[in-house]
This record gives sequence, C-alpha cells and structure tokens, in this order.
Amino acid sequence: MQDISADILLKAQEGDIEAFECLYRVSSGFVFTVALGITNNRADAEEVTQDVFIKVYHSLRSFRFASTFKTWVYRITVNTALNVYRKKVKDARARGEFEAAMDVEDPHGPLEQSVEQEHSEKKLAGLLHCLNADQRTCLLLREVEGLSYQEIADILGTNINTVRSRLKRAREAILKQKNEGDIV
Amino acid sequence: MTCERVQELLLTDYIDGQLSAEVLREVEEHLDACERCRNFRDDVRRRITAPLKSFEKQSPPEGVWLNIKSAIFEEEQLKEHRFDWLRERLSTLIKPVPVFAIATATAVVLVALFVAAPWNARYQAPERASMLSATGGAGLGENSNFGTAIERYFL
Repeated sequence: MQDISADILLKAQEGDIEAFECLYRVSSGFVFTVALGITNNRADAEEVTQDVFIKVYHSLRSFRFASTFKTWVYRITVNTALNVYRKKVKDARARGEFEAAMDVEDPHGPLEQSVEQEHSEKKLAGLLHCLNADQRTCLLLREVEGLSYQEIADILGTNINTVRSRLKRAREAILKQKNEGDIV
Repeated sequence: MTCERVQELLLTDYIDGQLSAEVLREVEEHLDACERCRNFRDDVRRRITAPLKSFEKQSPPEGVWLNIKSAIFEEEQLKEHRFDWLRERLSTLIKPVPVFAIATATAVVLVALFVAAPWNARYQAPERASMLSATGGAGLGENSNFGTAIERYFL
C-alpha cells in the first residue's frame, strides 16, 4: 500500500468525501486481499472491505497518528476479517458443516472475476486451507503483503516471537500437507 | 550449527530476511556443506514462498465503494434530520390559534358565566314570588304541593 499524504488524511478527517475516496482507492486493494485470504470467500471479503471503510470513516477523526495510517487500517482489516471468519466457522460447526465452511466455492466468483483471478484464489485457498486463522493471517501479511516481523507484531498487538512461531507452524503445516499428497 | 537449528531458521528468519549478518553467514556456511538442508531450503521456497508471492493481488468490485458511499450518505442524512421530530413537536405547541377559535371560545365562556351568575338567580326570584301569589300563597292545595320533605314540614 502506498503512503497517504498528510493533506489528504486531514481533509478526510474533516469529512471531505473526495479525500476519503482517495484513501479508499489507495488502500482498498490491500484490505480486500487480506480479507479474502483470511475469510477464504469472495462475498465475505467484500463485506469485510465495506465494514472496514465504514469503521475507518467513523474513527478517522479520532485517529491520532500514534501508529501509521497503514498499520491502523491493517489492524482494523485483520480484526474485522477474523471476526467474520470465526463466526462462520462457529456457525458451521454448530450445524455440523465444518468442511463446507472451508469450501472455496463462491457463488459470486465466476461472474465477477477473470479465470486467472479465480485460479489464483483457488491456489491461495489450497495453500492456506490447513492453517488456523492466526497462522493464515501471519503468513498473508508476511508473504503476500511483505510486512516485517515488527510490523506484523504491531498490527496483531503481539510480539515478534509470537509472529515467528506462527509463521514456523504455518509453513510446517503446509509442507506436511504437501508431503502427504494433499496438493491442490 | 545443527541441521535442526538451520531448518528452523529456514522456516522463519532466513526465508524472511530477518537474520543478522553474522547468523546469516553461519547458515550459509552450513547450507554449503549440507545437501539435506539445501533441499529443505529449496522445498520451502518452491512450495510456500513462490506460490504466495505470485498470488495476484485483487481489488474489490466498484459496487463495494458505491455501498460505502451510500452508507455514509445515509448516515449524514440521519444526523442532519435527527431533531426534525422535536422541531415539529415544538412548532405544534407554539402554533398561533386562529382568531375565530378564540372568539368562539370566549363567547361560550361568557354565556356559561351569564347562565350561572348569582345576579341571574335573583332576577328569577320575583317571578317565583308572583307564581306563588297566583296560586294563593303558601297554603295547602293541589297546586302548592311541591313534594319535598322540608316543604311538607313547613306547610
């Protein structure tokens, strides 16, 4: 995500909708990608993206630059996506449909995305399928978004050792999955 | 450095570029000498790092922004009109009453006062007296039987 100019940020804080749209255009790609990676469902990712930016709009006035805007938006995205994902898993478990909840299939997919995008999504979903939510999040932020251990720790409100441990377990799980022939 | 330690680093700091120069040198020296660890490193790169890095980043459909903009607009509208109900109530309370209504109400009150006024009762008293005299005073007779207990007592 490219940096946002202070001028745009200040205007958006004052309620300037054009400035807010500028923030959206710059950061929506990242937000959607992370949401998609965590929720594993395109419709959920769109809903998360909407929720994130509405929260950003409401909270922008109280944003005091204690962290960077980027880190702040990352944090909101991860928390919102994890909430949606965990609720979905919980509901699916209650219905005895855990495996179905992990399904990549998305009714909206074929109409709104290219074949390449769909293939890319399925590849990602296949890789992350065996991971829990925390491992999945860390791996996405590190491998797809290219964030450092410290940046990931700041976003998740944890420490570097926890980030390192989750990454290690995530990669071990993927290797084990591949070795057992469960390749997508 | 042991293979176990190197492979642990290959799954974390080495692959993520987080190693100090000194530790990186030690790992590289081990990898130069150990085929098993080299294969492990290549495995991690091929099966995890490369596929994830090649993932095509996505953008949300335009409909998402339209929904966000619509939600913001609705909220702003609600904020702007949130005291409309109070303004309407207040305007009803302090609404000027039509002159005709006041005049009618005044007339009704005056008539009611007139009917109930004590001086009106005194005006009626002589009429009663003339009725009494027409019937022959307060004496007994069919026409003087008013039917009340106190009248029977005095009459």
